[in-house]
Amino acid sequence: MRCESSTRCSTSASSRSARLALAAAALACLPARALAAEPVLEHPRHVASYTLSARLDAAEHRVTARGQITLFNYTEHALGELYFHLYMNAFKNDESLFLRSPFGAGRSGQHGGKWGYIDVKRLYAREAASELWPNRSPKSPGDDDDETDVRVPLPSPLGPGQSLTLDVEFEVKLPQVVERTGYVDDYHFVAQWFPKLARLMPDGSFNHFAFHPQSEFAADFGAYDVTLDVPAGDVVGATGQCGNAPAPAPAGRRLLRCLADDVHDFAWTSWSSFQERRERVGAVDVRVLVPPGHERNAQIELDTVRFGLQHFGARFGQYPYPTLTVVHPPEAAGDSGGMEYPTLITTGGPWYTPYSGARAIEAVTIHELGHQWFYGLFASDEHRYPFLDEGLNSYAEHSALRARYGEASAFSGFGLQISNEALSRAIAAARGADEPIAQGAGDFFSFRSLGAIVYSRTASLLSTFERVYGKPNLDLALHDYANFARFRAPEPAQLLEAVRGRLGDDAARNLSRALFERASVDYLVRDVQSTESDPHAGVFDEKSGRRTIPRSEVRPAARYVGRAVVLRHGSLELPVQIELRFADGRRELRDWNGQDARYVVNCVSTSPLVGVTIDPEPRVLLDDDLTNNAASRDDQGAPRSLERILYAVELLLGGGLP
Amino acid sequence: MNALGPSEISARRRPFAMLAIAGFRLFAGFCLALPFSSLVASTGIGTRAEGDRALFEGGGYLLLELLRLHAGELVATARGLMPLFLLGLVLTCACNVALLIALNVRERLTSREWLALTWVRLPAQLGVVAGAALAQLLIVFAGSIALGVIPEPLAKPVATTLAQIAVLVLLAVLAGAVGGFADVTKASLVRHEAPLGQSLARAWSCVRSRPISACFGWVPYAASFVVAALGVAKLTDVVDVSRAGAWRLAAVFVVHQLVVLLSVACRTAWSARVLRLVATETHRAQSPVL
Repeated sequence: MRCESSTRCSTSASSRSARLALAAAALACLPARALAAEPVLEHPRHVASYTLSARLDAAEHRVTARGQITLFNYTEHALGELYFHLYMNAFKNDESLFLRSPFGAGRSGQHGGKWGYIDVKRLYAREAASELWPNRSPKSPGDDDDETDVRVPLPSPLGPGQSLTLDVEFEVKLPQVVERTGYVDDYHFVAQWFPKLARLMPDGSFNHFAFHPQSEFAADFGAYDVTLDVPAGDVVGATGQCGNAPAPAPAGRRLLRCLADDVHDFAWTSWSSFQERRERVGAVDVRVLVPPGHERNAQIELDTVRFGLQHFGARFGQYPYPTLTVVHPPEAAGDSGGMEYPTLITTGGPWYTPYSGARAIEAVTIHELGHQWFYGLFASDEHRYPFLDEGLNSYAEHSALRARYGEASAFSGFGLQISNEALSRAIAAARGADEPIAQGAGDFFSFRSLGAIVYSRTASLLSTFERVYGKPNLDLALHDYANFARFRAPEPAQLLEAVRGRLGDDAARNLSRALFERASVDYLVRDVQSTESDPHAGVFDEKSGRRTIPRSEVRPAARYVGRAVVLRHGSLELPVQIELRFADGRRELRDWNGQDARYVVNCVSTSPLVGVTIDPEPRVLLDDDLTNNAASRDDQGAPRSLERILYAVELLLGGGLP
Repeated sequence: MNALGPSEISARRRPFAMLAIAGFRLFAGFCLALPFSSLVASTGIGTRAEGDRALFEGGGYLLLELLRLHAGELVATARGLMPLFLLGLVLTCACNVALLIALNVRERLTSREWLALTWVRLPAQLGVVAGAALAQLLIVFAGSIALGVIPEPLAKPVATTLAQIAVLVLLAVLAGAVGGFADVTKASLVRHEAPLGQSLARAWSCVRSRPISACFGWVPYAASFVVAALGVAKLTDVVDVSRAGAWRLAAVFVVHQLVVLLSVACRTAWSARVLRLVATETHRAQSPVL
């Protein structure tokens, strides 16, 4: 089976390359349609809706649930089968795609201490009056070891425009917290816990996939009506608006009913020790749930959400839901932190993080909040194009943190100010263009590669566009994209279209190359020269006869001719600035469109040209090597570095002995 | 050589010794720092208009780029310099011995005498330093085990952290006490010119009679130094070497060297105090009981 898997992988790798090339070519040829003219959707089409009642057995860490799933066939095709994601089975045994070699563990790098799984007891189609579950294919298609992607044939096709109501009963055994779901002691975070219909595509197929350790999720919008039965003393955080259920709660229990419209997932948490903070931010009721002792973190998270809702709302459209719940898991359950669900995000970190000077709480909060747009509202396909969610959101996060904290958004101290953008650029540059940005989560070599390319390289790509083509222009392009993407599950084509509409064809071509073709760029400077423009010494044949002028008679030159060569390696053709530096201290900036592979700098000046720097700011954060961006006829050495290292060594020598 | 009386031992008597040690620290630091800064200079950072100011500019793009592209060379340079650094530590230890000798005697020492006396005392002093370092490592090892067994209830994160801090403080106290005891032993070695065993016994006697002074008398001096170093770090932020102006670099250099000089002064003051402690304790032990 493993060999078959390998063969399958190689085949899919070659077809993937061809697919990417075709996609890139097709996207490059798209007409520059006015994306901005598309109407902004107020609500999505409800395709998959769920009404569930779930009971948590906190001692056994089990969730027993039953309810209805409604599927609306919006396509023009009859459906003969359904696909369900049973994500919880990723933690059932070591044979699952998630846990087996070569991946071995998820994004968190953890296996989890106890197994987790889902047992579907019943799936009954009302309209067909038929039990469906006995006829399912229990294993994921093409993978006899995995049970996270299950096909269920329908006894009769579901025609276009028809709905199907499914009665469902299932039981979930939660794993010890792993990959953002599970339990630790009496803390429970319940995510990816119900049989979830795969996203129905317009061609009548389902976007189904086994739970890959590098992948996140994709699903259709719908309405969720979930009743939760939890221990009486527990504080619950969940997707949507929750209130006491109308039915009386059994003794020692608490019944909550949570309603969420226009969302595509539902997650919840239940723990007796949560401390709660609430605040009304505009039209949004914000709840923050933290462990005891995390009051400072709760305040920071509230402050950050207040800023983020306004900031992201202005850039990508207003947050449309009435609630937002921020869950800060206890430290021992940290793997359930740093994740996004509709109207619910999880953060994380020790209680003393704010006192360390690091802005980790702010960063994780703003990042997860950003997902409410790129994952939540847009429903980007995180499996097929993870960059549309994590990549764009990382850019949004860095941009928001810079707006709030300036250049010291990551660190400030010891005379250094480090920004998140600079850190992200360094991570992205370390992997370069090893792989295309726009590919499926499972197609990346490793999660480290996905992290560097999807998160960091995409963020650096957009930061580059912001600096090269202007922030107002990129803001407009992203605004157009966000307006279109709202409730529409966008594809890369729409992003390219938005960029073409506001930044022009050159920018769109560069974006397409960077996303699909592993395009890169490295600017460098060579051969800075300066000569006197009018040296008069020598032998000259003139009309009046031959004349010899000795060097001693040559007057000092009044002008100098300067020359340097600036090169562009790689296929991204980004405009840059070139800074010329003269001996008298004067500086001159020139613009170069970056379209040719070489640009010769020629200048005539009253002072010799001593140095040339390309992209001095820098603007092109995708530049593979920033250290070769300058050349000079003089070298100032590194006196500041010497001083700083000297001081550090002196302190080490003094403090190194007891 | 005549030893000074306990009340005569004072750091202020030896300003030139302090300057000499600070000078050595500067020289040794320069020898170790130059290969690193040459490596940084070889990346071409000096060919930019702003020179290596660019490394300290807001955002840190070029600093991170340099670390990314040249981390291997920097690590290799650090490894290559390790023997030189260890030699520097031995010589720093020798400087501390020389300081104790200078503080202990009445006469003005010639350089030759000073070096000769230091050379004679150095092996035993290094033994004390190595022993103290080993003891401190053992304390850290035991402490890490203790940290691992602290229970971590989900709902009491602050209590968990406080328990961890308590263990860390206890570790620091124990390690600091070992350091203080080692300094008393070193002072005793110089003061009494006795073998290591006798010096350890005298140091132990000092610890028993004046435990706080012997084990933790260094704390005010160390605290002064830490406060000064943190204050200077803030000052360095204000001076901001990422901005143009050679005076900024000069100012930061001077301020940093003043911090180094202060660290030597603190070490000198503590050495004088510990010598006085050893001398007083011996004097008290030898006095007839009335």
